[in-house]
Amino acid sequence: MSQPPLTPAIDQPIRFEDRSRDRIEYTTCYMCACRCGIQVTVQDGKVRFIQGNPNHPVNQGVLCAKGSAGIMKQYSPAKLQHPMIRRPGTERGAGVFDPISWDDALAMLTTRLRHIRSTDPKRLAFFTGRDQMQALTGLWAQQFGTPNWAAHGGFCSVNMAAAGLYSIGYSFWEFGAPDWDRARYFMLWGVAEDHASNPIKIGLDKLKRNGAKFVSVNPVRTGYSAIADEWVPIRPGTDGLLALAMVHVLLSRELFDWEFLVRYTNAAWLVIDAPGTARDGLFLRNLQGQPLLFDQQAQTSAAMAAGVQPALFGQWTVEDPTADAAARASAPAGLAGVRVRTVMSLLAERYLDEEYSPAAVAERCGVPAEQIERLALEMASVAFQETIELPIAWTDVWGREHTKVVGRPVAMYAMRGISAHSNGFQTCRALHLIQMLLGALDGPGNFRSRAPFPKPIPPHQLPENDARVINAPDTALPRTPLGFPARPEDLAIDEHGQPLRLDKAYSWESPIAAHGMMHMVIHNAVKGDPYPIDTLMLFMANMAWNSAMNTSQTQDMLCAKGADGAYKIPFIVVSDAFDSETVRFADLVLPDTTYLERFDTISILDRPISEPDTVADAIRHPVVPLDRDVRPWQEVLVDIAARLGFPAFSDAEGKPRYAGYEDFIVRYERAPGIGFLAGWRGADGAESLKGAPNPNQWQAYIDGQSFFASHWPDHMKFNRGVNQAYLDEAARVGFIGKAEPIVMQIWSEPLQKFRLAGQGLYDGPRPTRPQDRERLTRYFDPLPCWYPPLETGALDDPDKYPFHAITQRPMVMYHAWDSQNAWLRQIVGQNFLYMNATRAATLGLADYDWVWVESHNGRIRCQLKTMDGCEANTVWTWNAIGKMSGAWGLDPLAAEATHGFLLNHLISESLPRHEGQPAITNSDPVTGQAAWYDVRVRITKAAPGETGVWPKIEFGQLPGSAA
Amino acid sequence: MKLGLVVDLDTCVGCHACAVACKEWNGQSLMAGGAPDYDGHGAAPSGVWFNRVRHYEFTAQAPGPEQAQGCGHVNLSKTINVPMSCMHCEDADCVTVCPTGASYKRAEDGIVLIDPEKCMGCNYCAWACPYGARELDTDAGVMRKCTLCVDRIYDEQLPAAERQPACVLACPAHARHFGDFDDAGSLVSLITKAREGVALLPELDYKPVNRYLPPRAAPEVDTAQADARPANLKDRLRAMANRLIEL
Amino acid sequence: MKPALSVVFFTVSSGAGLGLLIWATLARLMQGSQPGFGFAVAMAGVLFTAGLLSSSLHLANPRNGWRAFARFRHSWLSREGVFAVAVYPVAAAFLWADAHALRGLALVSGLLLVALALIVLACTGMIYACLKTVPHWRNWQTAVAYPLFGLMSGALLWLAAISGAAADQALNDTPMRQGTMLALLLLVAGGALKLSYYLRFARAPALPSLNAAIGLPPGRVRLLDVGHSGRTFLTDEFVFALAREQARLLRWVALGLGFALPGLLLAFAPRWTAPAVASCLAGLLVERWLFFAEARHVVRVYHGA
Repeated sequence: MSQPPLTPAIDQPIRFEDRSRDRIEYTTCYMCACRCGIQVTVQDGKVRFIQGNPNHPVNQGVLCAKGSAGIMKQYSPAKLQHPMIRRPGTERGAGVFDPISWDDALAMLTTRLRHIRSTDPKRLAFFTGRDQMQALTGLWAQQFGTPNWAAHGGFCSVNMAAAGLYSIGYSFWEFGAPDWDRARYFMLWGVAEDHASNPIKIGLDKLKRNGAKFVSVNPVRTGYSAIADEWVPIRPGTDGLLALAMVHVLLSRELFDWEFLVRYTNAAWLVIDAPGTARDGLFLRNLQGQPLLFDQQAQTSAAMAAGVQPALFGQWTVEDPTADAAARASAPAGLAGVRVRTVMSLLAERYLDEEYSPAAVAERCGVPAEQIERLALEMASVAFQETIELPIAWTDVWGREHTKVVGRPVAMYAMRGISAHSNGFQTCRALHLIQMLLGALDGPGNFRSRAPFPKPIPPHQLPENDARVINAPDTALPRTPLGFPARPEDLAIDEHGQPLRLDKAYSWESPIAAHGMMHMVIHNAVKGDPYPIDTLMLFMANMAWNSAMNTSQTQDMLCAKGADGAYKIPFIVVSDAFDSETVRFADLVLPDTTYLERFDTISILDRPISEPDTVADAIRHPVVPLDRDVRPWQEVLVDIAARLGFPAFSDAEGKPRYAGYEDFIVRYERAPGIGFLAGWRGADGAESLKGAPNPNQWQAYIDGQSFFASHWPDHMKFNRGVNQAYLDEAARVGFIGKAEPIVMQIWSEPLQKFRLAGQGLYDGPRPTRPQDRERLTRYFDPLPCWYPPLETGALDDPDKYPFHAITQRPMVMYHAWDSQNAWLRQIVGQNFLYMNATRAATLGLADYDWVWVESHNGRIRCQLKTMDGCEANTVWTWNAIGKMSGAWGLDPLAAEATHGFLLNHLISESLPRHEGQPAITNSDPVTGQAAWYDVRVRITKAAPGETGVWPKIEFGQLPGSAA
Repeated sequence: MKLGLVVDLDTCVGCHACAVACKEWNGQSLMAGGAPDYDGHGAAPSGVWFNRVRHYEFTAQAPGPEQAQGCGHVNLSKTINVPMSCMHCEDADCVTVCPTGASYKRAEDGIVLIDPEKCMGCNYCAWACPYGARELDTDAGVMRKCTLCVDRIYDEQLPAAERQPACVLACPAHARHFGDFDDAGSLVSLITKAREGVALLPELDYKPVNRYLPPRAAPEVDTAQADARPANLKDRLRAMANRLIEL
Repeated sequence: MKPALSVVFFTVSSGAGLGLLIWATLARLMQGSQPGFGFAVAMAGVLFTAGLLSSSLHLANPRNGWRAFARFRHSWLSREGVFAVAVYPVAAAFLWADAHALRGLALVSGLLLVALALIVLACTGMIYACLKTVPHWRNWQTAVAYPLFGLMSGALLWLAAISGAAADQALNDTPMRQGTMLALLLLVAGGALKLSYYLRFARAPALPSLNAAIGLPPGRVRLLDVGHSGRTFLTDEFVFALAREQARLLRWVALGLGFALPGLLLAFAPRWTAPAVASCLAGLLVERWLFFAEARHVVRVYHGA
């Protein structure tokens, strides 16, 4: 075959685009929790091209498939066009709407809300989903006076956030990031496409180029796990066992960082050993309330201070500082002190026990003992043999002037695979424990904090729990609806121990439900337990479909009527940009703009986009004209806030304080000088992080490519919890209240207090129901622990359901709303249930077989595919691909509806139980995190002729009648 | 010049960013002429894509004693994500077989392009391409393919750093690189040499220009020092002497 | 490979037309006047032209079809087009010379016409045989098949034309006898060639393994996900797969209808030229359809097929 002919360029000149018609705009992507900076080329008012902004700290110019597909999101036929009201006489869920003007819609809604607010404010439940504007929506709910607000964290990954905030002062999730440039060993636990999507991709490439080893612990070998140097196929729900076995290895070989533990954690703190008393397991504190250590020099207890030489190990009987003279005098001889042990002694005794040895856990977690041992030794080798020293001078909180920063270059990151289990909180704490033992936190090469974190452990923000204030009409809540309980007194319960919140967050059932429990809202509202509500407002939350457990029953519940024929949830308001499944269940639909059509803030007060070295925030601003009768939801919230006369939104005469959302963002100050946007503050725009409102702030951001970034000086970059200069600055700008040391907590005193309450010993509120007592006693372990996922324990016969069923997001889609994207749905337009190929063969199953998947809660039918890279006891599928027929502007026969399926139908919001047993939420007992990866299933081949997904749910057809 | 791409199979996580960025750029590119979708929100959506990412599972053979631990040697089982687009072959049969001359190869830089003004939509070039680089646009009746973003790389209206193919700019894992393989000092030449990059199906003699970098071998971590102490009994805890560490 | 019905029809029809034209011209030059010649030429013209028109139906953008002559120097498809178009003026010249009894011109143009027609047939074969992407076609059988089947079906058509025109002539008329012998010979040759092509299938060069196609070291590679949920141009065109049993059955049909039955009819019922022709053409249509349907393109490897 001859060589092809070559064509000189001059014969075929290149046709370039006429860029004189282009307008380049910078804003922020909205597809996932990454918030990359994007550069949008607009031609004649239409989006021509979306690419990553090379100057942006988060993505540095790259952009994933979701962001690049923004054009198809912008021009999707599923966009809502105008407000709608359910046509009178039609059934909720039938999706029959009439248009209504904004004026009428807002007037109607305001009237209703005003009535609720002036009678019983908690009858408004306001929950948000995939949004990232919790600071505003939370403020709004607080001002309204209802505690019944949360975002979707309780359904999503609160375990990661909470575990970090109760252990190290920052967390996996959005409050920290690995030091990709310097890490020499990186372990990824339970992460598929998830928070920090592009930074992880950028970072993994850097790691590999630098020759660092990347280990991925995940039951499925796709995505990040595909490129791992070592893939560890773990049995879902057993990561805690693996982690604690590694702790065992490190302890047994004395491979831990003495200095880090003594100086930066509470490993040397003295824990009172007084079983059966109210102080058992609490820290020994002096009269000033400071926790005490045992000073080896002075051979007595002392508070943490410069010069003290704490003993890491030991137990003593020491003088009790809080006992008064009389008590001391009356104590029997020889017992005149209090027995104490260091945290380190307690943890070493616990984890050195054979039950945590690699051999003991190997079979349960599916990782061979020798591999567990080797992984732990590899981490230790890297931590202690490849130590990094940066020549940075810094001063710690004990006054010591260091000439260098020491880094044990082992980093970790973890997310949903840990989180979505009922043991996720404790498992995540175990991961932090490994890092603390290795001295591998917030230093070079570690998982590091991101501004505004670290914060005190836990952060000093308590949820509103004063029943009188909650029930008081027309009263803003002094505290936020969400917070971080540190002791039983902080729970949101009434004098009978009953939950004050609709979702029962911060009750004995879920004491540290730091992000609320969105997944219980509809169920509880319909059952009227703890109380019925009047209005449910949902924003960007697809709770009638994939953001629900037990989807078909959830849809039934949304339409449930009482004996009087009225809906049990009288009024439902849904705000969204697109025609989701949930929109059909609304009574009032308030359409939102897309991300390219609005002003928005990605605030440090909210979910920050800072990097470890850079404090940052960002905005969005309209880059294409609005072409339909929709309004940005924040604008609507500010409008309603003004109409209802919320104190923060009204002036002294009760008139609206702000002209609208933009004005609110610029002039609202949470504290003097602290607002939603940190950049270009001050009258002249020259101040950062703290400063007077700047009326030109929005323009300054727009001119600055829609983001603000300020780099920390070197001496403030590391060991922030004990870095004096950093803490001073953090206090100055309002990240923290006071410049006090943030000492990492291996032993969690808040958890111990709740445990004491469960044991009936706590000197304060205590639970009365036996199941609450039992749960607190069992699960509120002050040290990280592992227990089998609750669903497994609650099933009569777990072997009847031998498989763990989990999901992950494909990298091209993040939320349900990507399926309506014409490009992305060509890549993933339907999902299959994947099973390990060898295991499938033993069951006589092959690719494309239709199978029944059955849990204790229900069953579905779907198509199977096999793969090698799947843990043998796991089946998995892509998240949120299956769609309800007719939703999202898709053809009713779209594959998403005919072949796509949800596992959610199989998951109940309650644990399996027998008749008469109380219903217990299917959640982590500490945080209330929805435990949707706990579900156990049985797989059987469908009979010939049984093809097609089941149930197939169509609008207008109640799920129970699905064929 | 011999322009082309390097794709790094070691860091490609299969996110499809490159495929979608390409679709986005070329949907309105004057040189590519479009990449239409059919039934985009319908029951059977499909469309023309110039770059598709395919996913495979690789099960390694048990390594024998004679297998060297070279840079390009993979001795562990992995999932491999493989983006595929036009290789801009030196001996591009798709150009040779085209009867109208619509399919052409630029003399200066070797980029293979389609002139939609000449294409008659006979599909012959697609038959000649082993990599599936060409797809038929049934709206216009012409073939479409990767242009190596020729209208970006030479566009002086763009900032220099953006004169790259859209897929290379987008890739979050930096698994794509663009450059001149005729220049021994270019990035693409250097990394191909260093990582022993391979061409796909070289035995067909198309002389594809694009190179694929194989997955790296896993780094070895020496645990000898850490392992030096034998595993302890719990009693050793009692014997652990406290070190003197001052706050 | 998805068989394009227009192309299947084109190659059989044009092939038969060209073959018929070749035998009609040669017979005219060597045997002189022959009843049925005019009819044969007309039929050849119709078959050839119908085939060409059909082939343009295969084009997604036919208004650029005229450009197909541009790459004569490089592309077999272009060459086929150029030579095919050239057939018309040369045929016209031959017929004109023949009609005006210009023996010299008729001889030259006639031989040129025969050569051209053979070249066109050869080009058609080379269009497929030159593709490295379809290993099943990389063999001499593919290159020779088109000329051979064209000559074969053309010979049968020629027989039909002259026997139809001279229905009352004796069966052992020399041209008839020679024609029958020729046709039988070609049927045997054709059948043998096709059989050898099918037999070669079993030992055909395998498509590269997925492992080799991605350039991985030794090990097993399987497809996890092809990268799209629905159909694409590539799956439509190349991943079309015929079930093995279906293929086997159709091969027998092709061999039987295309070669064996016509041969038997000619041998034992030489008057039954029309059924022989019909059977042969039907069989060739099946053969051609199978030629595409059984072919495996290298890109299938990437689709896990």
